Amino acid sequence: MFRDRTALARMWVAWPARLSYMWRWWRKPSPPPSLAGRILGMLLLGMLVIYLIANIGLWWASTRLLDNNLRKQAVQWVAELDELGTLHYVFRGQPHLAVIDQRLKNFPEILFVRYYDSQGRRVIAQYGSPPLEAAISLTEEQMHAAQKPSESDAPYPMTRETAGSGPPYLRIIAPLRVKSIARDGAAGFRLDGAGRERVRVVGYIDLGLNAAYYSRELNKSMAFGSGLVALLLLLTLLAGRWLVRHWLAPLVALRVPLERLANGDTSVRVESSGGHAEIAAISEAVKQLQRLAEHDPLTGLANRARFARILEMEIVRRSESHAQSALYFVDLDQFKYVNDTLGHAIGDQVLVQVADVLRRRLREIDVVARFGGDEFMVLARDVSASQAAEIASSITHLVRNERIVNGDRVFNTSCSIGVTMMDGARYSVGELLAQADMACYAAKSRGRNTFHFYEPSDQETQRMSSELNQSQLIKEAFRENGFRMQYQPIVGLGRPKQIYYEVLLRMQNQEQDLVLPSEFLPAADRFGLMVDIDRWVIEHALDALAQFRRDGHNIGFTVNLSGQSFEEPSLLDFIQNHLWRNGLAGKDVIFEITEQSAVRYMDKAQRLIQGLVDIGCRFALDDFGAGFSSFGYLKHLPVDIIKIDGTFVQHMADDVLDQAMVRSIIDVAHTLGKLTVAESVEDARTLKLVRAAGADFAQGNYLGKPSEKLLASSQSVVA
Amino acid sequence: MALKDEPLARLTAFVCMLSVALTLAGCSWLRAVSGLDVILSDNTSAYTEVARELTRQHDSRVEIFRIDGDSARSLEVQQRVQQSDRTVVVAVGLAAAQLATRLVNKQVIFCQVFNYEDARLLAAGMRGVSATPPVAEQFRYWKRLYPPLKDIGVVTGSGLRALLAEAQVAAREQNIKLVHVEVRTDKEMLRAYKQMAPKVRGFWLLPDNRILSRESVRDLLAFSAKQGKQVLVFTPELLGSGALLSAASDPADVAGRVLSIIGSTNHAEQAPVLPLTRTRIRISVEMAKWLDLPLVPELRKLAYVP
Repeated sequence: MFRDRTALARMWVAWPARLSYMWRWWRKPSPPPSLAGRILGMLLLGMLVIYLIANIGLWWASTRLLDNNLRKQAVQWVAELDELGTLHYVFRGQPHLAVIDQRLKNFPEILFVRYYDSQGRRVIAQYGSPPLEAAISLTEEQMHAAQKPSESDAPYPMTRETAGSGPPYLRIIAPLRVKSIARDGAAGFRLDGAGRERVRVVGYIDLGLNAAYYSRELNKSMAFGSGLVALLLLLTLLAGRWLVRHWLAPLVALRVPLERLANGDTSVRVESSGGHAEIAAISEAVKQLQRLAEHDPLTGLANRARFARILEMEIVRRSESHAQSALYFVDLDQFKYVNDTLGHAIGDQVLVQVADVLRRRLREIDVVARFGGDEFMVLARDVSASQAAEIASSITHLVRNERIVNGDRVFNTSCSIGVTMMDGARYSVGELLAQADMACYAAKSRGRNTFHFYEPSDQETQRMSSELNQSQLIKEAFRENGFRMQYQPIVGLGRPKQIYYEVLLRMQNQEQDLVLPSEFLPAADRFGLMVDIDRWVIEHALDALAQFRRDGHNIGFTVNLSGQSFEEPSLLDFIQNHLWRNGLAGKDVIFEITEQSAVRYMDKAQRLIQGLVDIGCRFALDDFGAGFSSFGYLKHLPVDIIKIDGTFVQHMADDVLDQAMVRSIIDVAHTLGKLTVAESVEDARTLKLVRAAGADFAQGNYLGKPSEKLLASSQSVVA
Repeated sequence: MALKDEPLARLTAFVCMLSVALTLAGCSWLRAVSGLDVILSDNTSAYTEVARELTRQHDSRVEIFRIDGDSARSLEVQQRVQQSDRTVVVAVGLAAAQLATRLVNKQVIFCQVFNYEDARLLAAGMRGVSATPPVAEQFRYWKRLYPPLKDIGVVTGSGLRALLAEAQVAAREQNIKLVHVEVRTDKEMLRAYKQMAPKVRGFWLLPDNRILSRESVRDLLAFSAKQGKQVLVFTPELLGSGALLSAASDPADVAGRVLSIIGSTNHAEQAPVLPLTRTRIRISVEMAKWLDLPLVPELRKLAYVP
């Protein structure tokens, strides 16, 4: 792989592009998380917080509780040891120690027990392992403190001590007292009485409790408890996850219908949620949206998508019966004139009134739709041809007689109707619509305000039929890989190192001949295939460019984009992906859009262009000057290159006006900081002229004809 | 006058002289009493009730002194009693009896002193009345309450030989084995009773203040109730704390016995400490129920009512 240094160099050159793409991809805003995910995330966060608080609180409370319990237990131990140890003072450390030994063996928290004499100097008995640092005798302060009434809850003073490296322990020193009733014979004795008692201290207990023992046990319990809590929280989280998903299921179920609805599929079904007010409201809104998506908001008639589905079902119905139905394409005559002269409000009024006329004329079982603009479609079910003609005639009559009042002005309109009969399932929806469209076109050709039945032998019908055939061929070309690309050089004038190729599409027909775009693109445009063609060209052009680069050609491509692609929201990502996949930089590709497309799709064009510019691509405005030329557009469109329409360049040598046009375009373009390409340079004289005019690039058969091969790498036409 | 009646006169004179001689011989210890001086150790009801009974039963004047543990007062009482023309002094309680040992030429009778042996009161020439009700009667009632009673335990301080001897006799009469342990402190007392608990059915708690404290008595009664032991105590005040029956002295009986000593002419044949003749027995109905002891009607009359 690395034997070829050139390949290695190309690989290293391609990496920055890849890294750049990845960087932009990483910085690209990620899609928002789902609602269920957010709720579960919050739930998880809440659980973690609760877990931490519970653990910390539990640990703190347990530690305090442990300490308190230890102290209370110490008091109880002292009381018990007091009783057990009394006999030490009777028998001075004889067999009773064994009793205490056995008793204390079961309590490892007791570190040591010492019994002192009444002066606190001598140890009468001892159990356990007192720390070495613990003094053998008690101090006066300790004895005094032990006998002094305690101000705290504990009856004896307790101190927390640490002996060297040993564990900390709780130490209690308590006096051993004996009491006796003062009065002889216990005269007048009462348990609750206040009779005097004599109290005598006979010794001291020194008790050490191992606090670390409890701490260890506490830690073990805490760990177990913590694990249990974590498990419970996990189970709660899982249960919560299920519940949230269950409750949000109706909302989540709305996502697909909404997406389909957004993509124009109005055949979605939205189920009512039941039990959730908010989700029910959303479902209702989605249904309303669906209704709106299937109906024209102005007239309330079914829209194109809905009508197409109805037509689809009608075809199936017709296939099962012998009856016929009639499809009408109703196009208002001169509607553009009404809109332009009287305003859109009046135009809308006309549309509404015509829609009412159609509704009134047709039956309940028939379907009326507005196809957009001034086009209506009507489906009359179960009618014969004569009945269909009668309906068409009455519609033209009613529309013609419909009075449109605008203030004190009254006017009428008319319509042209194309009719095609449906029997069986011979034709698809598209074909039927095309037939009705062709018939309407024929009606308009015959003077408007009339109707015409579709006949396959009509010339116009034949033209439209030809376009239909072309669309079929285009689809077949997709399937059979019948497209070809040719490349025509765009040569830099005075820029010898810069050479681009415009990618030109050809289609192979059944005879294996290459068909020019002018022959099939209109059909593609009519039948909505332009976006697919653009995608095919972009994909294959970038693949080819990458291959040429690998072969050592340091070139760039210009690729044409249709106006319909501006409405394709995923095109930007598509181009980015293919650039990245091929290791190409955005600057290696220039996209061409025609001036007419840019004007027609101004808003959407700006968005797409800006998106591509952001990834480094450049834009060229093609056929500049051919349409409604306006230099004002150049200020708003982020294009880098102006391609001067060939009609100005072709005859420059013989037409000074063309020369002036070309020079002015170049001057303005340069003033705006844009480069220029002179198209259709067919001879040396023209080349000389365009160069003198200041053009930056030139393209034409003189410089190179479209070919599937590139020019030789050393060839340069720049003098 | 001729001594024709001389034999009768001589006889009369002889009889009179003999009477006087006999009287003088018989009252060599006790001269004619014109009243009593009673010294009370303090104003405990056990003492004041005896004083009251003495006053009621004695037909001469009774003067009562109280020392209340005050040394100055003790000295004053001592002086007054010494200067008193009454020759008989009754000392009620140990403190009064100890004060009375310093009196000269007085005849002292003590009562309500439990531990007179330790105080060596008899060595001082006193006579006395027992503070403890008749043990035989105590055990008799106990046996009537619980006929299967076979062994009981008692813990005392040192001394009390007379009392324990009386108790052993009384126990034998009732076919009871009396287990005795001597201790020195209240804690030892409690431990001793607990240790003997497996061997005895009941505890006899004597008012030996040297080895009793409120705490130890409370613990003992709680222990015995828990262990199902029957406890005979010395005051009905303890019946509500877990004791089964109490045996207390009767102040009237104490006073009567004191006065009987005073009125007796043959002291040489009397015991130096006269026993009491009556016992006031009270029974705790709740503890009897707790211990499943049926109360016959005769014993039910002895139920303790606070």
